[in-house]
Amino acid sequence: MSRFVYVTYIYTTPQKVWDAITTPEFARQYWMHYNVSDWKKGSRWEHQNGDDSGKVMIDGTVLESDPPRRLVTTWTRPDKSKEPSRVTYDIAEYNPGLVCLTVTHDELAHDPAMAASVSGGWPKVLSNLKSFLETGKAENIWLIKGKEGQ
Amino acid sequence: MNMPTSSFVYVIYIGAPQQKVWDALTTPEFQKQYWFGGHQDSTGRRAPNGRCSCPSMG
Repeated sequence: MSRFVYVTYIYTTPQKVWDAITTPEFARQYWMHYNVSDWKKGSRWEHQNGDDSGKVMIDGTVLESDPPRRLVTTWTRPDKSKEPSRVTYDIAEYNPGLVCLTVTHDELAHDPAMAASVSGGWPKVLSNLKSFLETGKAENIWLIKGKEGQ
Repeated sequence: MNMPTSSFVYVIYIGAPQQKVWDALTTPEFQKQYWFGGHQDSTGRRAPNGRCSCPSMG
């Protein structure tokens, strides 16, 4: 698989979605990790463990930044053992108070393990994002020993 | 693009019991509240004419 696309509609504003992705303390509440950067084109970004160890789980470069509508970054293993993949967040105001968020994770063909990992990971992250923005509540899905369907 | 053309898969985590998700998918009165117009019969099958009248499904 070279490309993963996830679309979700969230009753919120584009600015809140942007803030939820780009503000470390906000991200920690549903993603359980921090996203750290100044989010300017060309800047580095880091996906840091929310346990405050400062461990970098993923890093990369900001390729495009158009707040609150569009953010594109590379997605790199910190050990640089594989070429980066790429993540695009398209944040569209479908209607006032309703956002259509499309996350496209592509350029994955050279890293099947990462492709498998993010295919399972994005639905958790983005379900939690929707729950958190709409209800103010999100659990740490990653700690729940659950049963996946299919 | 390597998207499958014959199947579509979507995964979502919902803070609700299994039974409520089942009921939401299979109960016409429940369906009306989130799947506007896309009614199914009480067995959970699509209406006999096989057509989806739901505007949101295009």
